[in-house]
Amino acid sequence: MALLELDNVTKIFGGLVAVDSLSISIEKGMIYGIIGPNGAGKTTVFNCITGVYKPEKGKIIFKGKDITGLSPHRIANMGITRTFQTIRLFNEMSVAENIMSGRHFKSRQKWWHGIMHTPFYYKDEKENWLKVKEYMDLFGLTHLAKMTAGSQPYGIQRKIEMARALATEPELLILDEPAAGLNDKERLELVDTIKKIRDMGVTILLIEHNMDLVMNITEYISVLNFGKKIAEGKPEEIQNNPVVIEAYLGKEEEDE
Amino acid sequence: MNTKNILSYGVFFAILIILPFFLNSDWVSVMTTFLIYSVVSLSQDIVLGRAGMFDMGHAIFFGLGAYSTAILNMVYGWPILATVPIAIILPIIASILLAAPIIHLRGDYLLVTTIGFNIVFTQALKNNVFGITGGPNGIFGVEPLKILGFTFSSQLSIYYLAFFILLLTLVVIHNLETSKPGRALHYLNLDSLASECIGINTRFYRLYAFGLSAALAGLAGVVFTLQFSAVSPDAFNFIQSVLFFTIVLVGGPSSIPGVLLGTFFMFVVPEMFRQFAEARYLVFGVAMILIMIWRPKGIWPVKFGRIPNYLTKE
Repeated sequence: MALLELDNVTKIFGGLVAVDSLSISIEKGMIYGIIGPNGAGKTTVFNCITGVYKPEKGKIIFKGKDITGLSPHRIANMGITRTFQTIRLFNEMSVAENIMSGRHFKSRQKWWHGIMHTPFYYKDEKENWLKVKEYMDLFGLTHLAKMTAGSQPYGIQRKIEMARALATEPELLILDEPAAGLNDKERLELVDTIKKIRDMGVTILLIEHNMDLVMNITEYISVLNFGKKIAEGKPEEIQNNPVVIEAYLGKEEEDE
Repeated sequence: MNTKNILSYGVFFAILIILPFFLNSDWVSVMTTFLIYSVVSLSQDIVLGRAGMFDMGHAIFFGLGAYSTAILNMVYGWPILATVPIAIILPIIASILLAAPIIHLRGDYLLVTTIGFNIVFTQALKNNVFGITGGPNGIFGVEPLKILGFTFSSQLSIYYLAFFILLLTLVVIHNLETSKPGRALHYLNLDSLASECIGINTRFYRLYAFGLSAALAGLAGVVFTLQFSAVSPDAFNFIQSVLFFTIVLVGGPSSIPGVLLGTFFMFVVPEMFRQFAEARYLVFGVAMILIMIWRPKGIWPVKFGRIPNYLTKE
């Protein structure tokens, strides 16, 4: 059984069909890529999966359960977390506090611990801060723990966002253009990080414009154009698919 | 909390404890009201500063607490101590009922809606609903609080009662800001969508902020009733809500010392210049404008980075 399955998902904005009967199936443990030209509806697909948008038609099945139309926090708590194309951190807060937000659901504190601290509170608080430290060590952010997240350079902010998403201990991690705005060195680091995350047993779904990165890292790709899936397959198959070259790669070559 | 913080709070509390011995009774009364208003402002800060919701009807919850005590005591003859749980629970229920349908509204819409609630609240009190609120003049002659044979009738005893309530509030807020629910409020305030997508039930925590802040405001209301042995609608009108709202913004949202300073600046300082009558408000208004221009995050802005030391040590 696939970990995540989209069955004829359709999302319409006014008269515009942003996603048109899209069906994809993601197996556990793989790195799955969605590519396509600008405006092809890739981010809309992500927003449908994470509950930010409710699709008009179709079903989204995660681990055999129908999650279509659930609120984002419930979907997150079932094991799907994401990063954003435009980084969305809690800018005024410290790096450690940002990653701690990912521990929200795993932390077992109840509402009354916000009023009264019990021995359980101290145990739980320490456990989760130590988890935060683990993720900071993993991403090499420990020396920045107390620094304000918003004042960090772009590459670091991307890492913080991934650490935060990973701190929720998801089964499926969704990355929306993780390489956008990164330089070559940072991009190489990113490839390592993504592989490291996959080796931790997390399935990864990503949108990416950088072709080198997509071809290098993903195991399976779906290509979208105008909300429709026009091709799918292994990276090497996609690279040689004439439909894809026409819709996407061909255009880019003309530009250059 | 580090040693520097503990020391500064120690000094602050010590000053508040010995202060009444250097003041005449008028000023002890002003300082008692300062303590009560500090509690209300700190509770307003939970909703406005921490959770970032523009609630300009906070006097409702303060008033509900005050009126609960006054009505239960004067109309139904309850002893004051017995009214305290009601004066806390009733504002909680009211805040959740009022907030639940409007909590998804964006800042400005929420602001207008809460102002509307506040106006309805004061009008209801003035029109003597159910014949128990005493109309425009309110309720007079509320009994003093009695605990274990001790009667809180002197101004000094009420001052220390208010001081105790402030201490209690500070403990609650310290616990809040170092816990999962308290952090969740900051997260949803700074980025609601990102919070949802990492699994925070933003709706629940918004209501939580309203409930907790209403509880503290209601408790402050009890002490307010005891301070004046009376309640009247004008003490809880929309203008009072504006005062609490402004205190938080001028002092520093989410910052405990900021809100305390804000209360001092907005309430005690005008009292000091009473001899200038209305003219003082001119200076005061200008000062508010200048603070917002020069220190848009308040007199004492909040500092994040409240993380345990073992995170940064190797």
